[in-house]
Amino acid sequence: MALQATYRDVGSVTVVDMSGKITLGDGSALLRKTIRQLLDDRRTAILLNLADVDYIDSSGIGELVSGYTAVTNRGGELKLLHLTKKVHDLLQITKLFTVFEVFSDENTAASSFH
Amino acid sequence: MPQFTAPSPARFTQYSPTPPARKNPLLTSLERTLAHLYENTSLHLPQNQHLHEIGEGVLARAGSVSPPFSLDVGRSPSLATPLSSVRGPSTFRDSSRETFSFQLSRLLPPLLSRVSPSRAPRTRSIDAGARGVLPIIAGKFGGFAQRQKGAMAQEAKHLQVTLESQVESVNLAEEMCLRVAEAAGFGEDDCYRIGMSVREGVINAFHYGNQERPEKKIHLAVDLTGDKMIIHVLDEGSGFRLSDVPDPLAEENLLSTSGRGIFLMRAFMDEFDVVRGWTGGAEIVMSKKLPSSGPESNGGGNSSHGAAPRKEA
Repeated sequence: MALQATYRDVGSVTVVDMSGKITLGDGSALLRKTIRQLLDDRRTAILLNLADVDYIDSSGIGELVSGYTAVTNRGGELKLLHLTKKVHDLLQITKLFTVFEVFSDENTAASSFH
Repeated sequence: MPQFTAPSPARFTQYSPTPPARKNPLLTSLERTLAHLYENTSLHLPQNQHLHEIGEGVLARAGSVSPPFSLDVGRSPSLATPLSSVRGPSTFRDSSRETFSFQLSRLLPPLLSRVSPSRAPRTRSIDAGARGVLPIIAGKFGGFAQRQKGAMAQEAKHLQVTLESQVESVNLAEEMCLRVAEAAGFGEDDCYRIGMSVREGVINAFHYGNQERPEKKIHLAVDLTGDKMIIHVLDEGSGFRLSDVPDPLAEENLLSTSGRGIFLMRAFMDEFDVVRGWTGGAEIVMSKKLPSSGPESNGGGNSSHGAAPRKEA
C-alpha cells in the first residue's frame, strides 16, 4: 500500500498521520516531502503517528533519521507515536530508540513538546 | 573453466497441454518432451509461456532458434536419471557446484534437427511486466514443505531471475522470495525477515553496487535445499568488503541516513556473507534454516551456498 500522510494540529504540535509503507521510492519520498513542507510552514513541533505504518525498510529508517536531523537543526522536535511491533523492533535493533522519543499516547506526546 | 548455457530469467513452472485443435505431430512430440523434462528436471525457459507456446515458437522461428531456452539440472541426485538419459555431447558440468547445464537443442536432435540454429541464446531481463511469473512461483515451490517432511531424498529447487536496476525490482524481488518462503513453510515472522533481507540486498545492489545505472543488472537466485533457503543477490558493480562497512550501531553513525541494510540482513538471516561474483560485483549470499530443519542441520559456516547466479554465455 502506498504511503499516505495527512496532518492536523493538536495545540502547537503538528500530528502527521501516516499509513502504508515507508520504503525506497515513493514512501520515503513522501515522508521527506511532508517534513520539508512542514518546516517551510514553520511547523517545527512534529509528531509522526505511525499507527498504520507496518513496514519500514532501511531507506525509510534513513528518511526518519534525516527528518529528525532536519527538524532538530531548525530548533524543533520530531517525535514518534504509536509504533507497530515491526517498526518498534526495527528501531530497537538499530538503536534508534536512543535517538527518537517514542510515545503510545497522543496527549502525553503532544504535551511533551517544549 | 566451467561453461554454461545462458540462464533464463524466469523459471517455467506451468504445463498447459496443447489445445485439441493442434495436430502438428512435431509440435505434440516437442511438447511431450518438454513436459517430461519439466516434470523431471529443473527446466529454465525464457519467460512465462505455456509449453505449446514454446513449442510453437520453436517451430515458427525455425532458422532463428539457437534455442532460447536451456535446461538446468540442479544438485538433486533424483535428477540424475533423466539427465543421463537425455544429455548430449554438449553437456557441461560445473563440478564445483555439481550442476549441469546444456542446450536443449543438443538434447532433442530428432526434433530440433529441423530447426537450424543461427544466433546465440538470448536472455531477457525481468521487469515490471514480468510480474506474470509471480502467480506460478508458488505452484513450482508449493508443497515443498510437505514433500520435504515425507521425502527420503530431499529435492532441491532453484529459481533465478535477472532484474533491471530500478526501484520496482526491489519490490518484485521481495515479492518473489516471499512466495517461495511461504511455499517452503516459513511462518509470518520469518517471511517478513526473509522479505526484508531480500529487499535490502536488492537495494544494496541497485543503489551501491550498480549505482542506479540502468544498463547494469541485478542477478537474484533462490535455492531451497533440504534444510535451508539460500538467497544470492549479485550486482554488476566493483564489489566491496564487509570489513569496510561502518557499524550503524556505533554512536557516531546513529544519525547516518544510510548504511543499515547490511546490518538488517545480518540480523534477520541465519547465515550472511559477501563474496565477489562472476560479474566482478558483490554477491550477497544469505540463508535461513527451513522451519522443519533441526538446529544441527543448518550446515554451519558458509560452505553450502547453493547455486549462485550463473554466468551467461
